Amino acid sequence: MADVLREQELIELVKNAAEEALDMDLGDATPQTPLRSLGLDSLDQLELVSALEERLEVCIPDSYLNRVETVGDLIGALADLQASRPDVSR
Amino acid sequence: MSADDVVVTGLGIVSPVGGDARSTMKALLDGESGVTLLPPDQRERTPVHLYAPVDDGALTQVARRERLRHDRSVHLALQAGREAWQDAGAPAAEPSRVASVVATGMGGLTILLGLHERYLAKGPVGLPAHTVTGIMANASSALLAVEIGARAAAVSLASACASGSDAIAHAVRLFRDDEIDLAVAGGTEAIVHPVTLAAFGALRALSTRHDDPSRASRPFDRDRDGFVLGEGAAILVLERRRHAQGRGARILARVAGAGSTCDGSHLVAPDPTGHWNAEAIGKALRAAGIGPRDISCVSAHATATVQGDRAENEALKKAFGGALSDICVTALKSSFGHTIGASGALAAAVAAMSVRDQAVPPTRNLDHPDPAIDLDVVRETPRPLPAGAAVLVNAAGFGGHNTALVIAGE
Repeated sequence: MADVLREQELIELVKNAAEEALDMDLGDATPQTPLRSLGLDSLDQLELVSALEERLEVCIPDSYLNRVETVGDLIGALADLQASRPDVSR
Repeated sequence: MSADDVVVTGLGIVSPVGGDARSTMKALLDGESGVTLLPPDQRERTPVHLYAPVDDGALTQVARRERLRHDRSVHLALQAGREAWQDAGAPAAEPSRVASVVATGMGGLTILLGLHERYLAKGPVGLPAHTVTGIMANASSALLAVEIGARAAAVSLASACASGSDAIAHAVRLFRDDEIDLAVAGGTEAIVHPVTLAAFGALRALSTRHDDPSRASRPFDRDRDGFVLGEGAAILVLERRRHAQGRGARILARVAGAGSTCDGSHLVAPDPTGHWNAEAIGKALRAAGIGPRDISCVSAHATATVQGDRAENEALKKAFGGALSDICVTALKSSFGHTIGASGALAAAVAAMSVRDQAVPPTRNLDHPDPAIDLDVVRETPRPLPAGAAVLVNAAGFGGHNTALVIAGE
């Protein structure tokens, strides 16, 4: 249950970051939704990553980014990074 | 008249006195000032508190998403560029024959200053992905190229206060070299920030007439004390006459000639003899195939510094000789302040409206003309122009850049 909430919180965080940094409404995006299908080009995706890095105070390494295609991939990367740095996650 | 003339078919302006071309021209003819005081919370860190801002409410065609990731100079260029494109009737053209030429004196300086504060507070994680694209000086020309489908060229020029005129002069060369049939060309600048005000203040270039903002910008006046930093953008849609006529476009004016030189003498101080500025004017007249007596009005660079005003006075005397006594002069910076990389394009756009409307805007704040200046400066009320009149737009910039444009009525 905690994991599900965690995922929902992260989805909300991504949606909030997209709204604030890109003025984009990700609406009904689910973990399975490809980022490109939301209209995010490569620069938009990096902008979203920057906004998430700032909010979570983490640095998302290129090795993660290269594997990110869906909203779920992005959330998974954020969850991994938070798990490895619990002292700075919020 | 030639089928290869470069004609103006659209105008867009955002300025300290108006949110579009029409309202800007009306405000200029009414002698309004766009100069005001910085908000109180920004005065602490700069000894200069005067500026001439663009009203945020003017940016009606700039989406929030664009405001989040681009520098303010780009916001102004997009607003002016979209107005100009619509004014021209959103022309269809062969993309390989279309160019975007948009100049800026200092590019994305203000976005960098803001992001630098975030970097100092948060480190690298504070820098968003748009940091590089926000700073780059070619962003305005590139974004407008994307928007209008320009494939012949997207160029950004930087020649300080001559940048806007140089963009138009460069576009004219692209027409002359038969590279293009259509271009958006102009300039943009938005560098007002306590750091830039303090920096220009360190050069002793800015007015500090804080007790009387609307009277602070005083070109050619005995009591001037420097310029006022302003924001703005002006974009012109330029078109080969054959192309414009082929689509039945309305033609506002003609860019009859352009000429550029460099003083080659000092990084910032103008050559006091005005020699090379006069040469630039001579080149523009020759390119237009006209002589000094064919010019009815000079839209002067006239920033309201003693050195600049006097050097320009010498340049005009050299370039026009005896014809100067029959030429009126106006100094738009008395209303706009100095919009740096936008100023030449603003002056060219206003000149196009002046020859169309047959009216030259007056120069504000010229209460006691500098005795060293012997020009017929338009004051108080607009000066009528004859039909088909030609206006010489003069520009000079830090770096010794001189560029003159001849804007003629139809």
